[in-house]
Amino acid sequence: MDNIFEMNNVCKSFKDFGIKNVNLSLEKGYIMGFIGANGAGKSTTINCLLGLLNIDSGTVKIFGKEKLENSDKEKIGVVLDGCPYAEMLTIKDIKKILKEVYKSWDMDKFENLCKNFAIPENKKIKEFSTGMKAKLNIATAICHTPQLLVLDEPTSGLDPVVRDEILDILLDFVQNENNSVLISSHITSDLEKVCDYIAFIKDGEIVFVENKDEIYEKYAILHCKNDEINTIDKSAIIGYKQNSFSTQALVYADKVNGEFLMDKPSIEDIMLFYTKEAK
Amino acid sequence: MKGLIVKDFLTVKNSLKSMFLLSIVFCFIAVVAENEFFISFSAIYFAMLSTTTMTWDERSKFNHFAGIMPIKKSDIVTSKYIEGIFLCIISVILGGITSFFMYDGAIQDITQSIINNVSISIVYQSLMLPIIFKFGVEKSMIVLMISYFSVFFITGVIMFVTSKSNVEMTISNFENLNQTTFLILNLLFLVVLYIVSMLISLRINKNKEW
Repeated sequence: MDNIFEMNNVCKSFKDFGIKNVNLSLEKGYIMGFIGANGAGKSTTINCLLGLLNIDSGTVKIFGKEKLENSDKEKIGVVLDGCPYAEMLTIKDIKKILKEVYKSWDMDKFENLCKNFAIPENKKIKEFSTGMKAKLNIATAICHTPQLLVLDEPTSGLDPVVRDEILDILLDFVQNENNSVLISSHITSDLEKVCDYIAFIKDGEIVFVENKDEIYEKYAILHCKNDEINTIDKSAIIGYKQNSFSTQALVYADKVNGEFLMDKPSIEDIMLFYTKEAK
Repeated sequence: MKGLIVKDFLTVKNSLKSMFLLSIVFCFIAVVAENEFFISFSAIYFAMLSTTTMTWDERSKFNHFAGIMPIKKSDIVTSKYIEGIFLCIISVILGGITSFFMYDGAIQDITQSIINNVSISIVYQSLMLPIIFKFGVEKSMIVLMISYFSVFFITGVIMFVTSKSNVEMTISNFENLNQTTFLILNLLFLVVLYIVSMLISLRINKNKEW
């Protein structure tokens, strides 16, 4: 397996939170979606992967190396929370800065992207909308020919048209079999469109890392009457919610005995039901 | 490192222009009023610009993001100190020109004035930069206030104790040095202070999680 990154038993703790025994890896040429509730540990995991936080234990490798050189960092494109440039800078200024930072900076690609995204060149960042800042972050992440993109909520605040454009860019990006994308997002419909794998984190621990298509085979949304839920094998039920008349449950499809109405779950369903864990 | 220096100068370019104009005004006042004190404003203003860039870095969380850019972690520190030297040079040139007119070309007075400007700039940055790297911009202001208070308090205690004893605190040894030697020692002290400050900042930054 040619993994572009590997996290093995990574632990990082803070005063009142931490990630525990995170095992996460991604092969070259694939896109992995990273989902979890707010505060579940997605950003902490991403920061540990990128070496922006010192891990307490475990190992992290990118491109097969634990310690990255500057030449390796040239190959990593990142979108993190917020816009990392001072608010009085303009696109013109950012071009000058990044041209000096990245040896592989592609100025023509950046200018074309800014044009396509309608990001004005002489406007100060403090005057940008949320969407403009998000577009700028993506443009700066992909315009120095990276091999690995790590995107933390990159499409947050963007309209569906632009989100679709960005997803097309990501799909195009992994046409090169050496490239990979790790994308964390609450917009699970976007992940369903482009991801090959889905990793789910809850309370600082990885719950699963699965092939997206296998998720649809493995899980199902079961519909039944309230009293019928007790007839189902408890080990088959991951989580459920009930109203006055009926119960919906996320189940392992192959463990359910009996005939029940079952639907294919969406990634959002899986996230929601995992938080309503069966007791 | 060039990218970091370009970033900082683009960040403060408007402030740089304002500081430059303000400094010229104060230098003019210094010449008219024949008071060197006003020249020192330019040294302070320009020195403050290096800490201003750190304020903007903190607000935009640039240093966190810089951790994954092809930039050495040490460059985040050394770029600030290199910029500090540039800013010091600008204030020295302004101060030097002003002193030339103030002292009618008297070399010794001009040199002393330049050294004063360099001292203010270097001492300010040498103290401020490690504190900001350690505590961040906001907390460093509190640390500085505590430091100033402590210095005044300790100085007051020493003066009180010595006034009650028969110990004479003189700087007669320094008064016996000729001015050239004194200036050279002053410059050496500033160089050592600046280097020590940078080493402290590098050590602080090494394991910092931005």
